Amino acid sequence: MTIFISGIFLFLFAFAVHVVVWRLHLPKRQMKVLLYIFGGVLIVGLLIIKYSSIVAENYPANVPSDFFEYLHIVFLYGALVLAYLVTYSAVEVDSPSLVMVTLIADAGFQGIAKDDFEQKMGDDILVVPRLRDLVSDKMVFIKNGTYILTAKGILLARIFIFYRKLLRASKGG
Amino acid sequence: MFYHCRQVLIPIISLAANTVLQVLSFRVCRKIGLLRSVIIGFFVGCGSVLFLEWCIYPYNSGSLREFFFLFAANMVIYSALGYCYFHFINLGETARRIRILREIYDSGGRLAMADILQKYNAKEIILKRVGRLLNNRQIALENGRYHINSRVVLAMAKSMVFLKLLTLGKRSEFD
Repeated sequence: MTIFISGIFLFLFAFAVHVVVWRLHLPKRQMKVLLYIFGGVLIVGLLIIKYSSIVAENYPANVPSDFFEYLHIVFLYGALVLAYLVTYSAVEVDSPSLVMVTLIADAGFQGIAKDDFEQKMGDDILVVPRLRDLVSDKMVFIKNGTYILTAKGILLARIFIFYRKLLRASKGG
Repeated sequence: MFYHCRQVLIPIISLAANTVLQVLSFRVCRKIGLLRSVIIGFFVGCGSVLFLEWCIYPYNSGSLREFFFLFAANMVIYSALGYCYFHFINLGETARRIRILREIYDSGGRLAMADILQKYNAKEIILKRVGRLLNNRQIALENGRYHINSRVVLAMAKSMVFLKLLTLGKRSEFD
């Protein structure tokens, strides 16, 4: 029970800290700050649990007893954090499909004309911001107007190319 | 101690089962499609968690309640990892950043903006995405106008906007 409750509580606490920090000031490099928050809460949380296990010596059932129980808490917390981070990446940038659905929904009962729809969805909305993200995430750098992959960008491209080949799937996008 | 060591391994083994089954099912039978192969893989992994928990239950020295909470923790870990795997597959399938990276990589690691937009642009994105939304009957095209056709997709869009408002305090990255 300790593993389940500790893991869930630590995650909810870190999430609350993240929401408060974001409301006070939206960081420039959001993923980096998120990693600091979730990492910091985990370290402090585990230290508190360890300390409470010394204090609650007389109640061994309520505290983790060995290394693998602590590891189990880290796994539970880590899995929830990973799931949140991948969801957050969808929150951070607008998904084209969701933008399209929202645009159609905002038009109300009469819907939106096909031409108006296509006019509102140009390269400046759908492609250029993502190219900018690649530059700010240091996947790509610009030299004389040319976008050049960094080592990080090459690694990521290779991972996805390998997996798409494994699935025998097309380029995607 | 060894009991807990095994408990920790259960979600990892189950995720491996999920991945292998997903890749195999998609490669062997393309008709099922990518999404269904992911769903099949996910449920095989759930079955693996249940089976492995059943296998190690005799080694449980604690109460049934304690065992139930360990099982619940493993199910949450596995589900979260399964969700991440789905997202990874989805990134390769739909993410624009990955597609742009790939286009640059395929062109020898360097490409000018105009060339990138020639290989991958808003027209292609709209064609693919609107095609998917129409095929899945999430939107409809009637008399040259697009309409929402699914309450589920609308609810998903609204919950995403809610999450954006909660965390970022704005509806869209362009606000």
